[in-house]
Amino acid sequence: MGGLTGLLNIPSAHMQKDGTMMLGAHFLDPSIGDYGAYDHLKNEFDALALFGTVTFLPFVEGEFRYTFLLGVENWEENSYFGDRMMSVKIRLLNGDTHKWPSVSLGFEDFVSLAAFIIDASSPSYFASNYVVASKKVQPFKHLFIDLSLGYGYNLSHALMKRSPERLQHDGLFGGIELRLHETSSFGLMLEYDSRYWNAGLRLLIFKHVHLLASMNENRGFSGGFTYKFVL
Amino acid sequence: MLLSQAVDPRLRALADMGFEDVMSYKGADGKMTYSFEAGNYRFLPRAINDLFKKGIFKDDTVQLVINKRSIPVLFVELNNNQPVAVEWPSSGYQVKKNGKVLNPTAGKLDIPFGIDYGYQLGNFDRPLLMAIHATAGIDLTITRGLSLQGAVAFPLFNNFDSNTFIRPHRLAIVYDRQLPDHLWLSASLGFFTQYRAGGHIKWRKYTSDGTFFYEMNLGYTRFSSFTGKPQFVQLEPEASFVYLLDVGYQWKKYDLGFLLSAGRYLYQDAGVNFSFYRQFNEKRIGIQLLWTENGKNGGFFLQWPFLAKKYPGKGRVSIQTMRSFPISYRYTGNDRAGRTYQTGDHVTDQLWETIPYFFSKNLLDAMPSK
Repeated sequence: MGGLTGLLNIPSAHMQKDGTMMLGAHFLDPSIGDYGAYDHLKNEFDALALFGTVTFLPFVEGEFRYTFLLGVENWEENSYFGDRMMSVKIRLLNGDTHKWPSVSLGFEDFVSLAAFIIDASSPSYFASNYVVASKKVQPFKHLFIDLSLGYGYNLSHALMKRSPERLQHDGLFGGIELRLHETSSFGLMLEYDSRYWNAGLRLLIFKHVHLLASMNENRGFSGGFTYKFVL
Repeated sequence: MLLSQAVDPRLRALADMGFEDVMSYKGADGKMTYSFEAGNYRFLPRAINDLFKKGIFKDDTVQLVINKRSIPVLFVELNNNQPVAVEWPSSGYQVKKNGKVLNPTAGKLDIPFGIDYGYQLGNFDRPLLMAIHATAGIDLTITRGLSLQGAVAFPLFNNFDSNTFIRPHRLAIVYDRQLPDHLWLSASLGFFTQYRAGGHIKWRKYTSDGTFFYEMNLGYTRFSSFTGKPQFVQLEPEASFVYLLDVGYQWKKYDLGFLLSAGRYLYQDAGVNFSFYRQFNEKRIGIQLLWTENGKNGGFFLQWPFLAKKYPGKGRVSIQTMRSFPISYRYTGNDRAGRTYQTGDHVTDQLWETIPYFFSKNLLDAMPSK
């Protein structure tokens, strides 16, 4: 749902084809308050995330995202404004053509995290640092499985003994996607995002439009669309 | 020997495709040479690819000389409609302009339309303040390397500043010249923004393969407004010297460019600007980092092609769209750090698509299969 290549709320180690651009919008249910630091507005408002992602190099994916709550009035009175963030994912190992899994490092909202580390003021609502491994397997002719397992760590605490209030991925996370074959336009997903279990599906329509729908544990619906094309 | 256009249908075919300054002659090596400008295409490799699709030069060995503002910028040698060599011409190369030239560019008026904008990141329920205006310009080719360029701005949407009226946007004399050893000189004189007028000159030196260059810029501008007083008195009235040294490198494997710029920018601002970008055919996406006396900033930028891939080209007046639409985002907003001005559409700024390895790669990617 964040915009980088992955499942629902967790990233995978995979990369899109070199030069791929993804533009999208995802509707997020009020549980976003659990992930972000909008404490005074927690669990009351839905949110919308607008993003643009580009596979800048075959092993580097970058994203710019703007997330804002829907239906909030009097932003100034509530000391609230939308969140802008930039993220990057770097693939260290490519498992697509080898037996080993793909492994990537991710730094979400790295600008705010860097500012936080150097003690500059910068809101950090969806920061995340992680390492994730993913592997595609096809045990049967009509069953394709994409497995991901990762760990979200507190980089700023490791470096400076200071922590942001909340991290989007804090601890172990993982997920599985099932498809009939690797290029199937439909996939089912189940994941644990380090806090909650989520289930959802992915559908490709009109060759470039990807629809994503998710039901989050004890919470509501999240979903959206992504338009994907190669530059 | 100049072939009569009556017996060489290839000249007419090139002119019909919209290419300009079309002529042919026998080169010093005896090879048949066709010289033209492809200004009616937004992206040069696509222009030559369309030429291949037409099969104008099949079953023949010829040399193409591609010009920009009558300055030769690229040689392409063809054998049976396939490129066998691509290289930069030496500065001393002379196009033999004797005889009739089809679709001449001298005195030709191009009218580019585009979109320009200014923005400021806001807070609370005004996260983005924008001024968007349409621009309509003139680009009049006077002679080799010399043109008159200008634009007028028409407001479309504005919750950012008080520029809510039709106003002059830019007007300058622009000159480019190629000197020996891959050295280029560019100069401009005129109004570069709504409030600044002056002159600017730059020298750019490439290595022979085009992967490395350095550039020196020197400009002097002062306040001068078509409309009277500046909107922001504290920003614009001061005269300003701008001097910059730029160093650029392109990593061929990924068309990944690195650019380091240091010196003095507008508003008496000294500092360093580092950017790296990926060139995806005619699109450019990159990251920029600034450290100057007026602040630190960073963000991303895109050069995105704007609307038409090809323009009419033929005739004395040609209506076009701007070649690319710049999009940029700065983390701390629209500050005064590392600011310069646009001096015009220079040949020097278009050389990136003529770098031989880059041109060949993008041409071959789009080549029709035999």
